Amino acid sequence: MSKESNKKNYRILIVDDDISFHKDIRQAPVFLQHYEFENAYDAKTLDKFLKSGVQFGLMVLDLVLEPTREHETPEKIKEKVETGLTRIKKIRAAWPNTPIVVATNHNILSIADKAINLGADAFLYKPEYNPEEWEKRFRRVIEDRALAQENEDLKQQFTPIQPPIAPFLGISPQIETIRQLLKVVADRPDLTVLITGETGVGKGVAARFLHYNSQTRRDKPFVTVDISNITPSLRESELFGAMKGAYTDAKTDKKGRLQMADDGILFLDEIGELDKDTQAKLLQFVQTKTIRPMGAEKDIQLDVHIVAATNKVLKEEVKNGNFRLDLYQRLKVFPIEIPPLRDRREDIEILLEHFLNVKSREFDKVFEPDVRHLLFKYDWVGNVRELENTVLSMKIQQEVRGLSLITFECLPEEIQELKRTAQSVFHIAPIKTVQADAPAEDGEAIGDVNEQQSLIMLQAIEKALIKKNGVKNDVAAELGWKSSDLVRYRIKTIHEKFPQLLSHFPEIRRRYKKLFV
Amino acid sequence: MDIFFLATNQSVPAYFAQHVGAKGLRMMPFLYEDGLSNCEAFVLFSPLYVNGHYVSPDSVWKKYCGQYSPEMKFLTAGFANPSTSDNCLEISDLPDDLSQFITNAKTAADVNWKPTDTGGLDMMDVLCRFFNGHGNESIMEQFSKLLRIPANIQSALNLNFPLQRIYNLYLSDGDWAGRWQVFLNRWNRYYPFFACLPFYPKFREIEKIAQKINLFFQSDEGDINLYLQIGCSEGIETIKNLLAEIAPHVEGIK
Repeated sequence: MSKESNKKNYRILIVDDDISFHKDIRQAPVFLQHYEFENAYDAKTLDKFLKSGVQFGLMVLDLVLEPTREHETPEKIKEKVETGLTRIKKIRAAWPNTPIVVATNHNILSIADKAINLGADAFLYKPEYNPEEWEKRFRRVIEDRALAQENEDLKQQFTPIQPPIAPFLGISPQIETIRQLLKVVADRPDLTVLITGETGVGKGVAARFLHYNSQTRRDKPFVTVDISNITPSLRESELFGAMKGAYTDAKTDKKGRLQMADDGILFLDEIGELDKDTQAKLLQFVQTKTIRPMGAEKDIQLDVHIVAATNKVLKEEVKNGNFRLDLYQRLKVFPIEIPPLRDRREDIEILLEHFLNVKSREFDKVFEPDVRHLLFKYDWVGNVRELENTVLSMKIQQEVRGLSLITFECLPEEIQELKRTAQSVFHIAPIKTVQADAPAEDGEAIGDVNEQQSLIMLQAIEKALIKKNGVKNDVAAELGWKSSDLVRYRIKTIHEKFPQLLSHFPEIRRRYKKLFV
Repeated sequence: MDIFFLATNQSVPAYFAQHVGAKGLRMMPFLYEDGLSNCEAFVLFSPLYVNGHYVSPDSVWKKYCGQYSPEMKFLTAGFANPSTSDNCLEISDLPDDLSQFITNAKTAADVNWKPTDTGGLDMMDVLCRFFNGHGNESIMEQFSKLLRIPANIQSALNLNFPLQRIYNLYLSDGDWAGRWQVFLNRWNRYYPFFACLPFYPKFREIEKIAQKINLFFQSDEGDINLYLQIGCSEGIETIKNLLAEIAPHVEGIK
């Protein structure tokens, strides 16, 4: 292969009022074969190109784009040159990565310096035109820019991105609206935010997004408390703090989470789990912005923005007498409900991009075509968290199996079943045959696809429970799920929707009997 | 002391010579070939009569002498008002002690004096107009355009393009001939005036080269071999370089 043929093809925009310059460059032997040119003879045409969005490999720019008039003073010419220089700035703003080579008859060092400072990549003096040298220069500038861009891309790739710590991803209108609402409320500490939604929809992520978007609290603490993880007897001291000796184990003064979150945000996850005594104390704080740690004699004034979350329907909890109405009313000042992923399937793509760390256009290099299709079709009852866990599980499966792509076999059972079910339902067998080993002897008709899926999932859980002898963490691992909470949650949600199905799965009923009380 | 002079009307220096001869001074005609290196004093009889016009190249000469013979006494002689300059001799009223007058005169490099207006076309203006042009194109811009085609031809030769292809690409459409003609028109108009200027030898050199290059444009066939034989590319490059050497002596080039 000759040296000539190694050159890439480049598209160059020449901006110059001298028609002969366009012609000479275009006809230069070194440019004849590997370059193509577009022409702009005046500023107006240049503007059109800038607005068109067309991209060029390089721009050759003359600083003066209008004819010199007779008796024009040197000052006037200087003024025109200055106008040309400001044009560089404008071009750079529109085309930040397009190399700009200034070619002019004005060989003044200060002009060259200014041009470079304003964003030009090179400065050429027209009377010293040498096509071979110029072509080399063009290529060098193009390659330097490309290299710089490549470096920047690599830098971006390897530099950990700081906040948002967990980007609140989604392109659906619902998520877009929620993001807007969170931004609005981010600097309104007087408005208590209540985020609701199914497990795994991203309530914690939304709370962090709010924190990141707060002008006043972004650099202040973001304290998370998962109420369900704290033993009921310790909740008060955990939240409000305790003085030394306030209770048997209080050997030193202990700061509560509220105090830790002073000037910042306290995210109270699973607030529906809070007992009534602590609810009363929390209500007092919400109303007065003061706390009194256990054993303390004085109140402490705090500035904490409360963001609470729950997957419970608090209204129902109020009705059932489990949650204080007054606290509920204070919390729901600014309610935000995050819809389940199945109701905003357009977000699946961006979430997959995020968890796989690849662009969607490269999905073909990651998945077999069918797999991708199934991931978009699946109902994701565990929402974003389930999707994340599934991605992790698929990648491990791919690695273990030594596959270049994520194949059907890498998918969790329940997603695989989706395909089998679809084939059976639509092509071969009636619904009943799908449930060949399902305990449906009583002839119940399985209604919609969700129900079928639920049945399939319960089968998988039942099998895993038997296989792993009921050890819930092992069951989760067997199913390719990150935590046993997800197993519990799935059983619970299925039970809420299709309680009749559980009657066929004795092992599930035995191991998770609390769910069915 | 020898006093070198430049004049177009020889009768005036002759009269002047009679006057200074009595004082033991000698008038010597300035020859471009000799240059100014041995000159102690130089008298420019201004205005000069060139190309059918009276011209005043005084300021061009002063600037030039100031650079190349800064200690030389540069004087103008004519029929101007002598009170306007210490370095101006009024021919109708020459000083009694010319030797003393010259000794007292300011040097060429002295910035505290300016030549007196002697009434002819100011050659600094003429030169400036030659370089700047009357509108869009300065002479250097013209050469910038003129040289691009030879540069392309040279590049094509380096890349072993067939001669016929080179001719077809760069010469056959007459564009280059057109660009040359634009220069030539300007050159022919101004060149006769330049005979009174200190750097006339450079202009004379340009004229010689231009005549030679013209042979190519005047040939009917526009043969690429003739182009190479004449050295059109090198010739134009030389003209550009000569003009670039002259340009710093001209005030007001844009």
